[in-house]
Amino acid sequence: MEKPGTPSSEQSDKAKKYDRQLRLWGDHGQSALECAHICLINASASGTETLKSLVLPGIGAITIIDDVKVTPRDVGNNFFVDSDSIGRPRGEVALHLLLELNPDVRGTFVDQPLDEILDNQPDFFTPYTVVIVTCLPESTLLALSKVLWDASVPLLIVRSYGMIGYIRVQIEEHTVVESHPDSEMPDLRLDRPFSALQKYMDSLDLDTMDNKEHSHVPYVVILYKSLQEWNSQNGEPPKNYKEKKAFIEMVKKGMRERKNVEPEENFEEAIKAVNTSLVPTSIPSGIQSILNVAASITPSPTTKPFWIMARALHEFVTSEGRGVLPVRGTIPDMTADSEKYIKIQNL
Amino acid sequence: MATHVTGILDENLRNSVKSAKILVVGAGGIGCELLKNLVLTGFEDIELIDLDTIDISNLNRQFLFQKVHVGRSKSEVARESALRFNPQANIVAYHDSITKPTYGVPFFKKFTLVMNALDNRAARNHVNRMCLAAGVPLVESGTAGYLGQVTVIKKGVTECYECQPKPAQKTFPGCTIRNTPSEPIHCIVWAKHLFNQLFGEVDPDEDVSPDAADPEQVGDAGQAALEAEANDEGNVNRVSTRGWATSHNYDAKKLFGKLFYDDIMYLLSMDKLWEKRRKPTPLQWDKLPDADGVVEGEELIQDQRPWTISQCYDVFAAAVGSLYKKLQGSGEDLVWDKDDKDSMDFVTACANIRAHIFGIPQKSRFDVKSMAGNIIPAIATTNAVIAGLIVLESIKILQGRLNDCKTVYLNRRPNFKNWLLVPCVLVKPNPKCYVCSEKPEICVRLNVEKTTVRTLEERILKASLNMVAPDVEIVNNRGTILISSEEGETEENNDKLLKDFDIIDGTQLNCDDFLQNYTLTLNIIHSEKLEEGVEFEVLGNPEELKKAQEEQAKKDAESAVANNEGASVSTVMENDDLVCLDDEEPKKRKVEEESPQPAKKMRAESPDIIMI
Repeated sequence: MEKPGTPSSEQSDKAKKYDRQLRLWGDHGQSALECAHICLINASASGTETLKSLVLPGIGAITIIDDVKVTPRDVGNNFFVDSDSIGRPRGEVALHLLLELNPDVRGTFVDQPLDEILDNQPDFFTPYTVVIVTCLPESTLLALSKVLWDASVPLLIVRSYGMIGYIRVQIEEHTVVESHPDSEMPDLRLDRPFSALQKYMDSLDLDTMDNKEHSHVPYVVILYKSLQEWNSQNGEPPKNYKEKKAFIEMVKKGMRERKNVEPEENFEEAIKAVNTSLVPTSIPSGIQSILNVAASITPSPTTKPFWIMARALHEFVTSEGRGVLPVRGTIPDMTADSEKYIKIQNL
Repeated sequence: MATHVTGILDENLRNSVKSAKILVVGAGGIGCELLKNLVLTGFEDIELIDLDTIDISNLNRQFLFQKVHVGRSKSEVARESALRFNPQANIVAYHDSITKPTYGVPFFKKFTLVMNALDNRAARNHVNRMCLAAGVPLVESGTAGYLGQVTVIKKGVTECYECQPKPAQKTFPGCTIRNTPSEPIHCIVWAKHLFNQLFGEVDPDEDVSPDAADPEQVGDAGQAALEAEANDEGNVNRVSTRGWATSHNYDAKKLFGKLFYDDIMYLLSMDKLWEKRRKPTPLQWDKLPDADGVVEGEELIQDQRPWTISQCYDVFAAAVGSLYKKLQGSGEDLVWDKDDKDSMDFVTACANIRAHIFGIPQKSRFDVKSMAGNIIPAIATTNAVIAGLIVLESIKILQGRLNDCKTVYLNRRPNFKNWLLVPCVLVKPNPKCYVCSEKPEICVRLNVEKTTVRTLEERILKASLNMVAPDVEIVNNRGTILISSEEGETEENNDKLLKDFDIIDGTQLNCDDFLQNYTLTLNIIHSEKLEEGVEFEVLGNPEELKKAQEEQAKKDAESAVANNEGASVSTVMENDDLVCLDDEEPKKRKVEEESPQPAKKMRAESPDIIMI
């Protein structure tokens, strides 16, 4: 133990164990994993292989449904049954060896034919996050898929045969709320500035600034000013390559040239950003179609959080948003003095 | 055992699987999955080598290991766990480095096939050369997060691992690190250098104090700073950081004052540096910006959130204390290790304090660990897919179908053909390869008046060109031996300069590595105009070099026109069917043209099918 008062920054054992994957899917992904309960039907080789890759990163819980006994054939192709276990329930043996991989994972095993469960316990599958099924005859699979479809539980059908195999996914709807987009285009609203942004931008006068201040004006301001000028001449923002090139020339003209001093960095940034920053603000078609669906939803206690938020977003867009999405609020790095950068950040 | 393969592999193949002698290099993420697949497929004669021991951060994917095994040899535990499945298999485990002379060409010649399951380029290069020398086919693989790749290497038939030059690791100019950091990584590199200066092996190239010879700082002001320094210390040759710390008993407050106040004040005196930059703000340990806001003794130090500056100071003081104790206790230099708590705390705290001083965003310990430790994310799923592909390629080799072997890439998302796994034809060897060609040759640009024989051996031949124990002879009438791999034979040459041996522009050196059975002709290009902080540049094959220079000239002319379309290019790359590993530059590969017919039909009927 550390002495009291000494700062302790040691990662917990769990954070250490999961370090390499947290760097891939973050805490957010990890908690989604840890809240999940997976049901596997039939502890075949492909079934246990699938569970292995879920148990290792720390899935919350697993349940194995299997009513057969271990045969010599299983021992030959399934890494998660051993030769001492021939004749014992296959699900139990596999569960035991799989849970050895990760003490954080809970597991249960059901030694009951699937047909019986489907007939007698129609709600059996409702609690599961995902059901994975391997080696199931078609008639039972059809019955199972209907039950899961009605219960909105995703079903993964896995089949392998020698050198070939397939995976099928049955899922009615899958909603993800993830606030970290993979690729980011800056959301600067230069074409449709909101009033606070407009007011701030208009309050700055580039011409009266001294050289130091001038070379530290954030490039968004430069682009905004140039765009105002452009629009007053052309009526609408530059659209194609040719117009953008002309626009760049206009930005260049605003640069102050001084002897023995390198060109102003903020203006160079502005020129580089012309291509990505002047994209007209619009609602991507994918999001628009979600909003269209959301428009017809009446929120109820069973509505998924995703749809409640989509509905709220729809309300925003149609009223105070004036037809566009809320501003993302993050701004890219730029050459600027701290005061102006922070001011823009706070707008 | 492995009874199920009866219906899948024909009898001949089952026999060749059973009798094949396999070397698996690496018992980590890929190695564990691979060993499982090998015993399940019916391989019974396997040798496994890994120099590593089991760490807790392995357990999320290296499923042959459990918590009770932490600290034990990876290869030995992997062997035990695999034998539990098939007690009849004959598995030999070595807890050792594959680059040792014990594992020479005769050792490699024993095997039908070698499978790499490695995580670093140096070992991959070495095994590549050993397999070329022994004429044994090599299945090479790698993973990074969701991405993976498998390929087959056979001397004379395919590209070798080193046929395409790989970009060197990114380095930063000394002045950026010492005087004018502008990104978090600059502060992290500085903090790691500082660790070595204070506790580790001192490397003169890793100086952390202000660099008065910054080319940006010209004129009188710099001179004034130098003189001021001379007055303070009584000597322009300043005391080394280590010496200073020792004379002050590694007192955390004094160290803090020197590193984050005195040295910063000194930098401020170099006023030319700050004409166009934000000036750094020196810090004093008893006047830290957030000290008032933090409740005394609060232990809310988190891994994933940046610390406050006063928390940084507390961590700094504690880490310096315990590292100093370790240094005194062991009497040996400490080695920086991302998994050592004190090492990691020290670097996080120092990097963040320095970042604060220079107005650079601070990073959490979690993020600093990623950057300082060069951590590549890893999960079981990717390794399992890649290990499966290794076996499939290996089976083709055992059947003598080398022509059917492929390089296979595992992508993050399906490509334009809806393929997640993309097979590509194997590329023919590069006739100018400095490793596998008939007469390997390479050019190195350096300054013969500044480069020592030691630098040639340690930095160029070993670190950069991956030789293990080179012998070097100058190609002249006398056949002067410059470096001998026999201990004690040429040690007196180490500190001499290349020019002392009449090495000039155009001199050829004959470099031979007995273990790798590899001879390389090294062409010296003398140059006095190397970039700041660069000792040498490996330029590649002489003929290719000329071609590359011509192309570069052409490109420069073109890029002047198309410069401002750059932003859209990077978004296209993401969906492309290529994978880069080891931070390699993405390289366009020829995708397998003859796609299986059924795949095309299926795609036309149902766009939902993804080929894997």
